[in-house]
Order: sequence, then structure tokens, then C-alpha cells
Amino acid sequence: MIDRLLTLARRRADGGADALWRRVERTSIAFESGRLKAAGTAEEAGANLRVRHRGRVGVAGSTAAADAPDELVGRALASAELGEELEIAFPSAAPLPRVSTFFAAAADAPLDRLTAIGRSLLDRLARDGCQINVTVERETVETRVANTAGAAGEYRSTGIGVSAEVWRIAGDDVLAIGDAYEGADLPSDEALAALVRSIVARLEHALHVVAPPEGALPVVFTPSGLAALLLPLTQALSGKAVLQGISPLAGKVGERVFDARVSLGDNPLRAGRTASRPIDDECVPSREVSLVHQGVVERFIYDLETAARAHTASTGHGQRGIFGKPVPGYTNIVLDGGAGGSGRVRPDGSAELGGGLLGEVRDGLLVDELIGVGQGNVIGGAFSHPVALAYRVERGVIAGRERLRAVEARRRVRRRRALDGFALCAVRAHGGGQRRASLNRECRRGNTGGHAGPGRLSGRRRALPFARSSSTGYRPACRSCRSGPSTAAPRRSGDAATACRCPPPRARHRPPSTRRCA
Amino acid sequence: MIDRLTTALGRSRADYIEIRVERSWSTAVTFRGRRLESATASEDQGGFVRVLEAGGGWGVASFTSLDRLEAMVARAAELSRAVRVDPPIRLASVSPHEAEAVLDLDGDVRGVPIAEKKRLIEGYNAEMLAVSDEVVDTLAVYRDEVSEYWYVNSEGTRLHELRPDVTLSGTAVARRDGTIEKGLESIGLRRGWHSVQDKAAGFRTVAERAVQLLDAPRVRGGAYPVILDPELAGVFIHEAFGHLSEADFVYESPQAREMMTLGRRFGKPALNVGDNGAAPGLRGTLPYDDEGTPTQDTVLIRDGILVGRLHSRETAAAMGERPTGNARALSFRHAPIVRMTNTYIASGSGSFADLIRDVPLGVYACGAFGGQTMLENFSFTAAYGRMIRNGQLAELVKDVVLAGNLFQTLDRIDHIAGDFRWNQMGGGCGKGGQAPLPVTEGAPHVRIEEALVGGDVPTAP
Repeated sequence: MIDRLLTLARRRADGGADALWRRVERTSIAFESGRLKAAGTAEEAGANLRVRHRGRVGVAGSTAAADAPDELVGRALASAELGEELEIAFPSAAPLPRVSTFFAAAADAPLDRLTAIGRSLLDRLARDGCQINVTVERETVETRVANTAGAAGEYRSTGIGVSAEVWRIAGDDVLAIGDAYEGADLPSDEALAALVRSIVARLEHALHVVAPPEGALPVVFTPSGLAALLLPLTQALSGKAVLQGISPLAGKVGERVFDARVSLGDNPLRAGRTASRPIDDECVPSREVSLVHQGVVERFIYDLETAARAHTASTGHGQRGIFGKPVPGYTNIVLDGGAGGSGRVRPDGSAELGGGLLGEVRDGLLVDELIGVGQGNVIGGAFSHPVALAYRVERGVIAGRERLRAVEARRRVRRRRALDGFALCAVRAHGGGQRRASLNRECRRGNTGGHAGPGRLSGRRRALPFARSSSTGYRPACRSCRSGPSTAAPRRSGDAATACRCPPPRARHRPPSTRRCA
Repeated sequence: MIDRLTTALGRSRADYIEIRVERSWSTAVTFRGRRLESATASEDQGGFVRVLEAGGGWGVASFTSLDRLEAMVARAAELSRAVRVDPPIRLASVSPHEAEAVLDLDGDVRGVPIAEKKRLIEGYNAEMLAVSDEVVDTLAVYRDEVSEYWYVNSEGTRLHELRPDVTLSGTAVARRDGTIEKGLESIGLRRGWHSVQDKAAGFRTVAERAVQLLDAPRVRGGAYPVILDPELAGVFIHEAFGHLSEADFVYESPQAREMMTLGRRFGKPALNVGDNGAAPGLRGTLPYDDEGTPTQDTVLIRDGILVGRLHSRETAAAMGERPTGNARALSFRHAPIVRMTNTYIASGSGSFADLIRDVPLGVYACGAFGGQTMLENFSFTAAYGRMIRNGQLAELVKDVVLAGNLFQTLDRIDHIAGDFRWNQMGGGCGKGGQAPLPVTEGAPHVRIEEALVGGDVPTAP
């Protein structure tokens, strides 16, 4: 398919071409309120073609390309007629690194095996007065990329997603707590046990509602709660934002901008992660990239186009779906652990809630999820979010669930002082396959569609430790909450939003969260 | 196509089966700053099969190759049989319909050269850039799509539709030193080329506002009387109430049913809320939903009392109510789930001036950067705000984030003006991994006697 497209493109476009072909097969089962209710399968294939003709670049995509490759080439050329001139250089052939992306046990797992995984979670999570939803999803993806300069790569990958959530409604108090496993291979028994333990621990702490303190407090973010801090950072580290002149980090390469304990990288070669790959979607071999090292900004991520515009080289972050043009995107973002925390890791690799950072907190908050992260002026750096799920910490231990509050930080706080502690243990735990948190992918169908990568499983994952903020502002959300037990029910929230303010593909354990994007 | 689908239906012995096929043509032109970022044309096609065998669960299959139609029908039936559900899934009855529905294409976008589309959005983009040197970046997007849609089910419904959609969006980013502010324009219509002409003024206005916001202070956080403009009031009712009225949230949970019992008071008698999938010409408008049920105007809150909810055939049967035509799927890649269409707060009486006249200190929150709900908790980011002082509009403020609890906030709506309008925005609604689904909201100006506004924190160090 892809060879046919490139052969046709070579004849008609004078500046070369590159293409991506992707085929996805997905099987999923869903338990709703404890009952197996649905089983589904999906098969998708499509191609995305980019051509350079008379110095201008054009892109077209289709799920019907196999029927009419000529038409796709024609549409890419029509797109190039309008395009701006761009000296994009298609990379030549290069050796590819090895990375484990395909696991036969996952690819071959029969429906019964997926059902058994779901049932085992249901059995272990069952509680009186609670509803339990579980989904299990398996995906196999074939990706092939090639260009007219001779570079090509293909790989198969698998993905397994298991998510569970427990709902408890008491009066107007609605509590839903979930977690998910995601990896390229089937989950081990230990991984499932850790998933159950994560949900149960948070559920038990959440059943006790406590009164909040007021004012500025120390805040510990769980890996999923960290999105509000991480999103502006990842946006600012994109070469695209630098080119646009809107990255606050532009011109700061080599400068210490963050606390020396902050190191952030992107690693497409991490074994067993669904976002891992040997080659990016533009034929650039994958490699691990350090973005911030010990607080010093080291580099930005680029795809071929942004690299050409910035007169630099692609960092291997080209990401493309069937529709739309490639964009720079992250694979596995890793925020390295610092020296903080107790380092306590259970034998199964899971971390305790709080990552060992709570011991130093006399009176504070453990934030697991915020509402509305990604809305508004993200890259500006200031944020203000109601808390979806957070726990009051008193004298180093979790005292109970917070009611609806707001956490906010001003830019100064976030950049300079926000993170002063990291737990090394949590990196290990969460890099190992727990706690999915998908990064933003643009949701316009023109850019991704349901098949832009390994489908729903494939947000770009990050491995994050717990992090503590020493000076994040904090105040009660409403007057009436100050007295008496709450009727408000914090909920888990999502992560990054996108340029078009649509929600990213969401982890399945968060279905009740919805967004209006304009 | 209908014949081909009907033949495939006829070969299956499943108790219930439905097939949807969609083919869509879309173009998108994007300007970033002065640069054309992309101009692409895409074609997407595929099918979706859903089968319900007696005593079985839903078996679903989606595919992009239509050659796989028959195989996928068989596979969906197999999956349905593999899942045993007790008590069985039932579907509320809907009489079969045969319809050929071609919505008003209003200048079929498929006949307009992409160069014309580029010229249109380039002009709107230039309007934003021309406002000030402080507008350092813009994003201007033109997008259109025409979908051809076929639907058949084993109960005799046969539908063929042509659905247009066109959206314009503009983001202006203003920067001065370290301060960055944004303005957003968004227009979305279930129409065609003619409907997106002469829209320059809106693009200019948002760029001007982004520049003005550079000088505006952050709103001081606290509890205030808040007046929502019609755009934000619409997003509010969609997010904060609409999602809870979707019956798939309640139908499996006795506790949730109790929370959403019909007859429960949700607000003051002035409050009337509904969802109207049959309102002419809006983005959420369609003659039938994705289960072949005709759309309708469903009243959800009448005089402050909960009187209805939004249903699919499955949720309606489970709750002994009637389907409302709200089972919608984003595309052939997805199963239909309960979704809103065009959600509204009905018009009240009086003017905007009447709402602010007796407010000594309050916030007028305008426009929507976005909204998110988690069950009964919500958060909205307004595009900008104005303080209200002594019954008059005062200074511009920024970073206006509203947060709260649905039940408390609905109950605190104490005045609804008579200036209703539909907000024809682009973007859409996200739920269960299906986004952005085209929806519309409508509302007049609405006053909340007290709401929490996030902003500057007086106590932060």
C-alpha cells in the first residue's frame, strides 16, 4: 500500500514524499454495574501521505486509500499548491533501535482471558452500596512508515488497557474512584493486585470527609494530580510553541529555570509501554531525549517541519494520524524522581499513596485530581482549579477526603518554587505500567481520529513521581462547605486539554467527566 | 447502499441488528500567525454493526473496509452471544421510519475550491493580526465536512441522510513582557459555505479583547453574585445539568435514580431547561438519532422541577420511560450513547440591566474557554469578565473560573432575563471518548445569587 503511494507520489511530486500506513485491530469488553454488557471489535486501516512539490508541502489522508491511491496523491498535491515553501528534508535510511512493542500473549489473548481479568477485578472490588464498572481492551497495531529518500520502518505493537472504577452514591454525594493498568503486555497478577489496592486505598480514605484548612498550604501531587503543573511545561517545551513565540522557555536553553531536582525527558524506547516505538511517524529513529536536566532547560522537541523552520534536527517526535499533518508530540514523558520521599515501594512495584512525601507535611493537601486542567490560558502558567479528589494531610498522615476546593498557583510560584520534592519510588512504580495518564492529543478528527496511533489506549503516557509544592495557594470553594459534612463529591478529572480545548482521549476509569469544548 | 445493507441484515438471524455506514469528505485550512500551517482534504469511510441476541449483551463491530461488512455482521452476532446478560437488555419500541433526509447544504462546501477556503480564513486571520503589534500569534481554522449517512435496522427503519457541518475558529494570543492572554472566536453551523461569510467582526473583537486583557487585573477570588452571559449560561447548563440528565448516568444505579427522581426540585420556579434535537438549523440538530429514533424537544426542568431526562432505547426501556432521540455516536467508530443535542435554558423576562441593577458587587462572566463536570461538580473558564459595582458594569477582569456544586448552583439561579439566544459555537462535547460531538447551547442572561469565582488568592505568599 505505502510503496504504491510513494511510487505514485515520486512520479508526480518533484520534492519527494513520505507516508504512514497504520492498521489497528481492537477487542474490548465492558462490565457495567458489575454485569458484562458488551463486547466489541474494531478494524481500521488508513494512510497519510505528505508530498513536497515545487518547494511546497501538502498532506492528505484517507481510510479509503486502498481503493483509490491516485486520488490521495492528487489531494496531497492540491494541498501542496496552497502550502508555504518549506525546506523539509526527508531523512535517509538509518539503523533503528530495538524496543519491545509486541507481546504475543497480549496479541493472542482470547476473549475469555480478557473476560476473566475483568471478573477477577469485579470480585475483588465488590462493596455493598457500590457499583463497579470495568473495561478490558486489547489492541494490535501495525505501523509502516517510509519516504522517497529511502528510509523505512515497520513495527507491530500490542496494548492492553484494564480500567476499573467504583461508584458510591449516598444522597447527593457521588464518589467515583478508579484506576487503570496499561501496558503492551497482559497485566501480571501483581499488577492487577496493585490496581485493586490503589482503588481500595483511595476509596477508604475518601469515605471519611474532613473539614479543610484555608490559605496557602503545602500540596503533594500524585502522578495523576500533577497534570496542572506538567501541562504548561510540556507545552512550553514543544518546538512548535517556541517557533510561535509563545513558549516562556524560548531562549532559555542552558539556563537553570527550575529547582535542581526537576529533570524531565521523553523516552520512546521504554520497554512494554504502548507509546514506545523504534521509529517515529516521519521515519526518524527513536531515541531518549532529555528536555530538562537538574532544572536546566536542555532542548525542545521537534518534528521534521518544526525542525526545518527552526533550522535544527528533528528529535524524533513526529506524530501523525491518518488525517492531518504530522505534529510534534511526546511518547513516554518521564519526570525523574528526586531524593525526596521515603522510597517505599511495595514488592509489586506500587507506591503508597503520597509517594512517601507526606511525612514532612504537617498540615496540607494530597491532590489526586483537579477539574478543568487545560482550560483557558495554559501556557501562560497561572492556573486555578477546583479539586476533584484530594485528601487532607495532618501530621504526615491522610486524615480524609477534601470537599470541593480550588488549587491555584501564579506563574512565579509555578516556575520557581512549585516543586520542591520528588519521590524516587513513585517513578519506579508508575513507570512500570500503573496509572495511565494520557497526554494531550488534538481531538479534531482532522488530526487524529480514532486510529491515530494505537487508538484509545495510546495517549502519550508519562511516568511521574509524586511531587510536592510548597506554596500553592489554596482556599475553600464555597462558603456553605465550611460547616458540616459535605454533600459535594470530588471526582477524578482528566488531564491535558488541547489547542481546540477538546478533551483528550480519556482513561476509561473516568467516564463521568465530560467537557464542552468550544 | 441501503439495498446492500438491507441484504446484509437479511442474512443475519440475530434478534436485533443495526448497521450504519458513513462516508465523509472534509477539508481543513489552518493559519498560524501569518503562515498557512496546513490545508488538507480528507476522506473517511466505515461501518458500524450492533447486534443484540436474546439474553445476550451488545455485540459491536466497526470497520473501515466495506468489503468486511458481512464478516463483521457475523462477528458482532458472535460477540453478542458470547456475553450473557441477566436480566436481559431490552429496547424501548420505536416505530420504523423510512426517510431520505438531505439537510440544507446552504452552498455545498464540496463544490468550493480549497483555495477559496484558504482566502476566507486568511482574511479572518488578518483581521486578528491587524489589531495590534501585541497580537504575537494567531490560530485561525476553517473546517468543513459533509457526511453521507446510511442506517438500517432489523425493525424496518431505513435512513439516508446528508449532513453538512462547517466551523470557523480563531485564537488571538497577545503578549506583553511575560504576560500572555488569549481571545477566542468560534462559529459552528450545520450549514454550508454561505453561512460562514462576513464573519470578520467577531475575529477582530476577540483579538482586541486579548490585548485589553493584558492590562486587566485577575479577578479577586471569592463568592459573588454572578451574571452569566448567554454563551456561558449555555455552557453551564450543558455541563452542570445536561450531563446528569443523561439517563445512562442513572439507569443502572438505584442511588443515582433516587438522586435524579422526577419531581425533585432543582431550582426556583423561573428555571426551565430542555434539550431540542429538532430545533431547525443548529449543530445538534438531526432528524433521527443514531438508533433511528426521531429527535424531539424534551423538557428537563419545568418551573424548577425535574420532569424529564435524555434517553436511548436501552435506558428508556430500563426506566420505563419513552426514548427521546438522544442516542448519538460520534462516527462509525463508536456505539451510540446518550448525548445532548441543543440544550437550553428557556427565556425568562426582563433585560440584562434588570439583572445587575441591585447588585452592589458582582461579576459578569462572559464567553467560555471551556467547561468540565465531574458528576455534580463543575468548573468553567470564562473568556473574560467585568466587575459589577453598584448596579453598573465596571472594569474588565481576567482568569474568571467558576466552580461549584450543581445542586447548590442551580438553586441559586434567581433571575433569568428575556434575551434568549442560541450560541452557534464550534467545538463540541466530549463523553466516553467520543469528542467533539456537535452540540449547541442556548440561554438568556442568567443571574446566580452567589457562586464561587476563582482568581487571585489574597492569602498566597
